[in-house]
Amino acid sequence: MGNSFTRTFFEKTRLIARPAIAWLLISFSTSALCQSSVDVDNWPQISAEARGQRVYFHAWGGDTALNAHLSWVAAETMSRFGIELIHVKLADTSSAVTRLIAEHDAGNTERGSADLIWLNGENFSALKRANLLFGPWAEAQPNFELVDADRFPEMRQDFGVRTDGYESPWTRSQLIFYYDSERLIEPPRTAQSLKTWLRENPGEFTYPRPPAFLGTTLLKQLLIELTAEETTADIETLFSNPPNESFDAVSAPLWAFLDEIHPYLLREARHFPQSGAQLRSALNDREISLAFAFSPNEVVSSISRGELAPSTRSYVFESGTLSNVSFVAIPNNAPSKQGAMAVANFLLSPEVQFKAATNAKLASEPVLSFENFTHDQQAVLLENARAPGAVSPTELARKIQEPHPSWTIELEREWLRRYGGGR
Amino acid sequence: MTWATRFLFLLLGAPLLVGSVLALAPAFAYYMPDGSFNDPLNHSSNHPAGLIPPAFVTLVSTPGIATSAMTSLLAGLLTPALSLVSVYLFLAATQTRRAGKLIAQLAAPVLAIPHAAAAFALALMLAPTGVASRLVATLAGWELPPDYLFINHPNSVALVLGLALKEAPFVLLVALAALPSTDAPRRVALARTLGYRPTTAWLLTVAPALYPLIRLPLFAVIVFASSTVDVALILGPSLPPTLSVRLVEWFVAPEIEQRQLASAAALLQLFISLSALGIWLLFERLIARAYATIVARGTPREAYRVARFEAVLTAVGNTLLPTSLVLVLMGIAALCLASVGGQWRYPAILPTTWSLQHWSAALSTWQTPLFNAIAIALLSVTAAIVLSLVTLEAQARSRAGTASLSTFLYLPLLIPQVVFISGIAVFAERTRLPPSLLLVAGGHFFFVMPYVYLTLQSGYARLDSRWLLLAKTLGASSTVCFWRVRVPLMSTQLITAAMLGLTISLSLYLPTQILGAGRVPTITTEAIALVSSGSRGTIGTWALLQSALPTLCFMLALLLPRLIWSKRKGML
Repeated sequence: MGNSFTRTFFEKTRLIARPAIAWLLISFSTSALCQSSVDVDNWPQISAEARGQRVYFHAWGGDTALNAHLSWVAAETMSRFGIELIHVKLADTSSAVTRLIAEHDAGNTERGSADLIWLNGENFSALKRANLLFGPWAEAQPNFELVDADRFPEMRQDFGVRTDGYESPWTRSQLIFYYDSERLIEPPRTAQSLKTWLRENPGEFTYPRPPAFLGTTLLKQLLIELTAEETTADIETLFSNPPNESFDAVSAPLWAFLDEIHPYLLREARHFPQSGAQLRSALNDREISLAFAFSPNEVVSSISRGELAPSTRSYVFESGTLSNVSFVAIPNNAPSKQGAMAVANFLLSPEVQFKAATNAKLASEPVLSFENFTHDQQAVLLENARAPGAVSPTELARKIQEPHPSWTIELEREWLRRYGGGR
Repeated sequence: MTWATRFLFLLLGAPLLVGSVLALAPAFAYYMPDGSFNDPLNHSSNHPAGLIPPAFVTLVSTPGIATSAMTSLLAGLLTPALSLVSVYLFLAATQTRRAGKLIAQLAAPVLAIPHAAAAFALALMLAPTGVASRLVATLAGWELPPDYLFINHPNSVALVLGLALKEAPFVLLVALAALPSTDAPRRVALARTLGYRPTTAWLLTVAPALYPLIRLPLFAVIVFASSTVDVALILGPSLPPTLSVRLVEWFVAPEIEQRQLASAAALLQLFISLSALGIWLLFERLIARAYATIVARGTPREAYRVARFEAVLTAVGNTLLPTSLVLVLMGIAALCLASVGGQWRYPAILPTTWSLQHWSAALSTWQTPLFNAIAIALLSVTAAIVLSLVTLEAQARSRAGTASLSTFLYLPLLIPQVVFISGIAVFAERTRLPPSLLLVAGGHFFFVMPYVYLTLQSGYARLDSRWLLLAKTLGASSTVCFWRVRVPLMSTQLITAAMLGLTISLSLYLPTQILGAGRVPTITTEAIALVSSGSRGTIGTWALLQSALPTLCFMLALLLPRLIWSKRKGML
């Protein structure tokens, strides 16, 4: 079962998007840009038009807890707004992106199959640049102000790409490490100490095979940390731009590091897990004693499902870990744009955010700023943050921004070139 | 050739051709110097002649692509070989014994289990944290799982084993169906009068006669094993994965270079599958020649020498196939345990806590997928039965030959699924056919049709035509003959064909996913989507749900004829 859903979503979205922009531009130069007459600033009219619409929400369906949550959302949108919300459960989000491109290729500018898509990073930046998304609409939503985007700029940044109102946030994630406190007393808290610890404890760590999302995330985390050790250059600027001809030099410490640790990984790095879920069951079965996830609530929700022992604890590296926000977007050929906007706005409401955060099996991280929850809700959220296995809010405050999406592509390509062909 | 046969050729051939062309064409796209590219489907191509299309250059330079291709090729050859050897030895060793018949009945439920579920079952048995390792751990007092690589090993032993576990029962049932027409007991008796022991006698006299009858199904096994996606994902190597797995990874990527790469890989896949067939044909000849020599030289002394292997052959035949069947069934039992288990940490043999959460989660979302799966299966099977009957009836009335058609029907099974299904999806998109249940049912029809047709064809061949002649002399029209004589007498074959078709349709993944564009969820697509969850409990639950319907069909196929013919003799 997918634990906290964002992390697993990313894993299944790995292959998506890195579209060749050149091709997109050529393919769509002929297709008319469709901006239908939706007045995003007139919210009462949007709500009225949304009633009776059918909204196809394309979102990864590999997590039963998330699927159950979305079917609750669907029941609510039906009874409150008269919107029929249909969750199209994707095994892999790339299929939705592929289909969107194929539809535009075939000149389908009005009868698209998706009304709302869970998007992130590379695929968002590619679809936005190819003008395949409807917008800007996100900041016109009444509930958007609750995320307090002026204080939290990551609500307007998707992997360093400005969302410009084409995407609405709905959940957030951060890389955390976890271990069984009965087996491991003092887990490593930096990349270097991870290496030292692995030499003494061979076979007790591994990572999902890139381009599995979580594996690539670890590569990015290590790259940023190792670069910060060696250079005085401004890391933020270095990684907020696409990698250039200095990629080889910048990434060299990462490959040297991996070459050193691979002989000490589980199965001596001859096979890697496919997903974070497999990593979790390897930890639960004591094959490894240190694992990681891209969701702060991974451990709490997994303990509640019986997939991790109650003695499992989680933490964040000393210099911080990668974090980002998950978004939903509307294709510009979506037939039910008003309905999709109403659904996105509902997903941002304190009620839905609180429900998703306190659902023990889902434990999604809210995107709303804390003071927008009621006092009672705040009390419950604070109580949850003290649960065994939860990461403390002070540790979570140590966030590292995602590098520009093109780093992901380059890192994956190079990893596959070096290790993907076997030995 | 009758008009019905021609129609069937067109109905099956046109989509196959169009699908394959559309899937393979992007591989030949050229980038122009100005950065645009030349799509062979949209423009009259004026690319520089003599240049290798860039997709092939990329494909060749992909790290580990040769290893991937070799893995697929080897899986395609070793799986049918292992299946055939285990089935032949089993049949030879158990010829007339009761135990053999009992074990053969175990094969039917294993056949009904979808490939992915069987692969999970095997992984759950043999992984370092699997049931086998837990048993050893309990005896030896281990606390931590051993760090060995078997499942997903680059040598692909686990992949071949997992495929053979599913294919051997298939080959066994096909062989059992064909066995009566080889007159096996008399052949064995003749060889025994020459001094051969029973197992050797069977292998020398019945095996060569049986082989031509099960050859085409074996070819389908070769192609399937060399191009399988789901089993290779679960059991196959990951550094690098098999060609088919990489192909699908490239196919779902949205950027055009990856699509072209996927098309080039599809062409390579086709080449690998055909190469596997070619190498198999070569081995067929070599083995046939060797066989002929052995049989011809069979002096009593030689026979005695071969007989010394009799004991070994019999022992292997008695154990190999039954062990593999038991392994799968134990794995399925382990899946059942996992589906109702809560915490189940290594090295516990049984879950330490129990929970129905996996079942309640699955059952709360099962209605739509179940309805879709049944509707698609019924639509495609009904179409296949009606078309098969129309064609066969037309052939019977005109007494035209049918051999070429039955070979042709194997084509959808001989072209790797990924190749032509993705082409059909492109075609549907271009012609603006929306993804729908009907389109998916149409895709399923291709895979259901061969089995339904061949089952019914054997029914037509077996029915004594004098019954129809008798009816005609009594003044019955052809229509009356069909409805009042043929259909009732063939009801066993009709039920078998229907149930076989339903089973196949219910477990198809790729056509459902690609043609349905995610809008037509079935039990199988839901199960595969949840595979990524990595939880034993969830996987166990859905694997069992996915196996339940096909198993039910198989049971009906066995039971219904017994009920219908309960008051008749000699109809089963």
